[in-house]
Amino acid sequence: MMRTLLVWSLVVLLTGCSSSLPSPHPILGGQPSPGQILAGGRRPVPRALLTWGGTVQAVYNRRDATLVEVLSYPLDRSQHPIVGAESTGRFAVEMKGFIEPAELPIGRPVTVTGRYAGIARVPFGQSRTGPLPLLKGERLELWEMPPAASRKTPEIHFGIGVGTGGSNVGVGIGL
Amino acid sequence: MVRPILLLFLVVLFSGCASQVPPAIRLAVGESLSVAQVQGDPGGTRGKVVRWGGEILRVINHRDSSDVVVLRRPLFNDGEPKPEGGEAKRFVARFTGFVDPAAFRRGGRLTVTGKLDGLEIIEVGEYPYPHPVVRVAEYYRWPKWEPVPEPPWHRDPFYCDPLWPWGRYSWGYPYCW
Repeated sequence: MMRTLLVWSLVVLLTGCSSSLPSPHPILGGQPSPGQILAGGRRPVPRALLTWGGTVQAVYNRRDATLVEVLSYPLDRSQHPIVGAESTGRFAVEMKGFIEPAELPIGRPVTVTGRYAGIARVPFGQSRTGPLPLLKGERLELWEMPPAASRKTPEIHFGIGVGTGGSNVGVGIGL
Repeated sequence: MVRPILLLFLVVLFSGCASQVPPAIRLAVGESLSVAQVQGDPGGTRGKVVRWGGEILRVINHRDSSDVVVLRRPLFNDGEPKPEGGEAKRFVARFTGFVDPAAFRRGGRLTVTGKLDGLEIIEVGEYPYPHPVVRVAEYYRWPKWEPVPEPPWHRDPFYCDPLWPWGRYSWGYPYCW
């Protein structure tokens, strides 16, 4: 009796942690990067659900959709693009409807989940991109702009702390 | 003799407080309509007074008027636009006469008050975007946004500046030893 109760409580407890978001790794062996796809490596099946991220390079508003070109970077565990890392290629995403381009300035980090729609030369107004892997975006997440490099000033901290825990007292010096 | 000195002192004291921001910009006016509400009912909102502000996107000069396209942002109490957030929708601030695009640069912050005057469709890419038009009665261009750096003791409960009171944060942190 206790056993089943325990099992049930564990099930309830753990399901609370499972996310309803589409799994970031629906493809066995990890998902291919845009660069790998373009280089003729592993191709995802059409309409495969992919999550890619990077920084915005160009935006174009069509009548019924918004096109975004993204410089791809690997994602960390919270799906945030690691902008300092080596780029993993470029891709284009087509989102339904109008997205304010002023909210997508060049360099803004984004994460996109969408369906793979092959390799296409995507028209950005008068110009068009080279062949790029294209996603039909289902979800576009905007991240904060990285702080300008010039604003970073080296800071030296010097701290002294005293802490008590139970009967123990500790003193620490930090730099 | 004491009188003029006192007067001078008072003038110096209070001139520091004088704001160049017009009162109509500093004080909230009328009802707070959103761009989306005006887009939904351009006729019914015509003539209503709004105080809107945000980020300048572009200037379009006509023969005898100038349209400044603004991305609307929420305002602080004194009328200054916040750097981000809000509905982030576009409107047109219509000035009579010429407005210099070199002065109203992209990314600058502008707050205007004036009466609503219907919608103007301006294309963004290929998208026909209905911009509510505000006939500008008063306006103010804000200086460049500079975020106030967070004082280090907000982040670090054990923060202590050994150079106090000569260090960078000498003011306002009296607990240092």
